[in-house]
Amino acid sequence: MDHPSHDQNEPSSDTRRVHVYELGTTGYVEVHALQQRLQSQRRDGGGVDSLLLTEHRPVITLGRSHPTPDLRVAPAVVQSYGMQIVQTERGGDITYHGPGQLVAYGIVDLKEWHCSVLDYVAGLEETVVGVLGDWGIRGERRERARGVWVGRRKIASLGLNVRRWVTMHGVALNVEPDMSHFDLINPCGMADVEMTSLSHEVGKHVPLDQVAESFVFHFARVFECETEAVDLNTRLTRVADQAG
Amino acid sequence: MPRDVVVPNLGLGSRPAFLAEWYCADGATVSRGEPVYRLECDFVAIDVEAEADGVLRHRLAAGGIAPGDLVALILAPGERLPRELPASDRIEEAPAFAPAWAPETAPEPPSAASHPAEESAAFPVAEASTVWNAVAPSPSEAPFAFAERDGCREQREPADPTAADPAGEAPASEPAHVLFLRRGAPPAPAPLQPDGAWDPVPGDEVELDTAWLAPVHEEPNPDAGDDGHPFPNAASQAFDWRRFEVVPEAEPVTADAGFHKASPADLIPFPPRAEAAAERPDASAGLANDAFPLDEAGGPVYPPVVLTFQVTAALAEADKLCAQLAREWRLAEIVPVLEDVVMRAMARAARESTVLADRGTAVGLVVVDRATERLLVVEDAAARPFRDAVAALGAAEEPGDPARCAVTLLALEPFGLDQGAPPLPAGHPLALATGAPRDGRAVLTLAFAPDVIPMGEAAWFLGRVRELVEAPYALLAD
Repeated sequence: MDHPSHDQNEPSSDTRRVHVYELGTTGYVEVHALQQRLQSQRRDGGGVDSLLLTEHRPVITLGRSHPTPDLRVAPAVVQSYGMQIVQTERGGDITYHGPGQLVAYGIVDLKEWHCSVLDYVAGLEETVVGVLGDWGIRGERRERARGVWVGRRKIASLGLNVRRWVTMHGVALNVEPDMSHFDLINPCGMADVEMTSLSHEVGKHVPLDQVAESFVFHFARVFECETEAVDLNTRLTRVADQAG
Repeated sequence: MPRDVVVPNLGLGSRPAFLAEWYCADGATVSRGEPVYRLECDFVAIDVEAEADGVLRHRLAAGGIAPGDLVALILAPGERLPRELPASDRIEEAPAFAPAWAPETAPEPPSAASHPAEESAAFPVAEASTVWNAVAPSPSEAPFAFAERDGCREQREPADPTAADPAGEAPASEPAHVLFLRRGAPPAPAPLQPDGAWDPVPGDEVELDTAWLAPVHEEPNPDAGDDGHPFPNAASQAFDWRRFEVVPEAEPVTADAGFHKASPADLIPFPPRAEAAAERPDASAGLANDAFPLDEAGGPVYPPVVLTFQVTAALAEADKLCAQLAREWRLAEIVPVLEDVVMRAMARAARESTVLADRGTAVGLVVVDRATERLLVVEDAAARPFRDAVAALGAAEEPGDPARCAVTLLALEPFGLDQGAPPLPAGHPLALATGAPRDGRAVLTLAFAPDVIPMGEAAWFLGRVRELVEAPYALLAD
C-alpha cells in the first residue's frame, strides 16, 4: 500500500512517537473509559499518541448509528452468556470482543501526523495484513468492505471515532477466540459474513502475546513511527509516588 | 460575521459520507469545541465540533454530504443571517406547528419570543418578508392561513394590505410563500375505469377500490338507540337479526334426521368422464366469454394470483428518526412520517433485490385519505437524498411515472386499520400496506404476484423492509 502521507522534510522533533500499553485481559467498559480520557487529553493538546493492546472479557458492542443489536438469537440468550451489550461512539455496526482476540485501540492525533482518516484506516488494515503475513497467511483489504479478509472470511474488524482529528477505538483481530460467540450476532450487521481466526487459518495454537508483539512491529513500520512500551506497573508506582 | 460550519476534508476520497446525526438542535446555543454533528463514512464516526461560540443554525439535514458542504452557520449573539444567501437556501421560519405525534422533548420552533428579533428575521422567504418582520405580529396571532391546492394543504402567509412594500417585488395579493403539508384533502379523483383495470398515467389521480371498506349497514336503523348506535338499547324492542341478513332462515335439524342424506333426485348428476371431457372446451369458452376479458388473440385473461405475507415491525427507532428529522427539517415544513421511512426502506430493498433491481427504484406512495385516495410517485427514491424524496411526496409537483414504480406502498392509518392486504396494481410485482401503529408496532402486509416475483424473493423483501424500518439510521446513508 501507499504509506500514509508523511512529510519527509519535517524536522526530527516531529517524529511520530507512540506509547504502547499492553493491558492484558480487561473489561470493555474500563478500557473504554481510558480511551475517552486519553482522547480528551490529546484533543486538548496534552498527552501522547497511544496504542492500547488488550483482550476483552466477552462483550458485544454497538456502533453509534446502530443502537439496536443485530442478534441472531434472543437477547436473553446473550444475557445467559453473561455478556454485556455496550453502546459506543464508534462507526460501524455490531461486533463481538472476547478472550483470544487482540484488540488495538489507537489514540492518535492525525493532524500532527499529517495523516488523513482514510490513510489511518488503511494503515490499520495494512498492519493486520502484516501480522497475518508473519504467520504465512495472506490477508486482504477490500475497498467496499472494511476490515481484513482471508479469502471470503473476515478475520479482523474495524471501527473508529474521530474528534478534533484525534482517533479512538480501532481494530480487533481474531487470534484464537471462541468462534461460537460470533454466532450470536450478525457481525458488522451482515447476515452472511463468515468469521475466521488466525489459529484456524494456521491450524495450530497461536500465542496472543506474540501476535501483539507482531502488531506493534507492523504498526511502527506502516505508520513510520517510534513505539515505546509503557510498563504499567512502573507507571502506576510513579503515579502513586507523585500522589503520595 | 457568521461562522460557517462546513464538512471537513478528512481525506475520505470519493467514499460516500453522510451527516448521521445533529447533536445540537437548530437554534441551540453552542460553545467552541462542542460536538455539533456526527459525520459517518465506512466504519468511521467523526464528531465535528463547533469552532466558535454562538447560535447554531442548520443549513442541511441528515443525509449525504461531501467535503466543503455548508451544513450550518454559527451566529454571534444578536447577529443576523446574511441576506446574500442564495434564493434556494432561503427558508421560512416555521410557524408554531406541532404534529400530534411529536415527542414532548422536541424543542419548540424558534419564535420571536424565544429568540432575538434578528434571529426570527434570519431566513427571509422573499423580499416581502421584510414587511412581515416590520409588522411584527404577536405570537398569539395566527400568521398563516390554510388553503387547498392540488390536494395539498397549502399554508399561506396572509397578504397584509396595510403593510408597505418598499421593494415592490411581491404583489400584496400574492402569498409571499407557500408551504405544503402532507395528507391534505385532495380534489375529487378520477373515476375508476369501467373494467376495473388500474392503468394510471402521469398526472392522473387514481381511485382505489375501497368497497371492502364500506360499512356493513348503511341504512338508518329505526331501532337505533338515542346515541345513534345501530344496535338497539336494552329498553327497546327485541333485536331483529333478519335486518342484517347475517344468517338465513334454516330448517331446524331434528334429532332423528342423523346425517343429512340428499335423495338422488336432489343431486346434480355427475357426468361420465368422457362426457365431461367433451363439455370442457365449451364450458371453458363460455366461462372465458362471460367472466374474463379477452386478450388480442381471443384467449381469456385470468386475474393474476396474489399472495400475501405479513410481518410486525417495531417502530421505536423509526419514530425517533422521524422526530429527529422533523426537528431538522422544521424550517422547510417537511414532517416525515412512518410511511416515509417505509418508503425509503422499500426503495433500498428494491435496489438490493436482484429481481427488482432492473425494474427501477421508483416507489409509488399511495396516500389514502378517509374520503379519497391519491397516488403520489417518487422516482429513484433510493438515489436522491432522503429529504428530497420526502419533500417530493409532500409537494407532488412532479407526479412521476407510476409505470416505473417497482413497488407500491399503501398507508392504512387514515382508516384506522391495523392491517389489510393492499391492492396489487396489474403488472406490479409488489405492494406493501402499513397498518396503523399500535403500541409501538405496525403490521406490514405484502401482496405480491408469484408469477412476477418468486415467493422467496418476496419474503426476503418484506424481511429486509422490516429490518430497515427497525434500524432506520442506515437509510440515511443513501
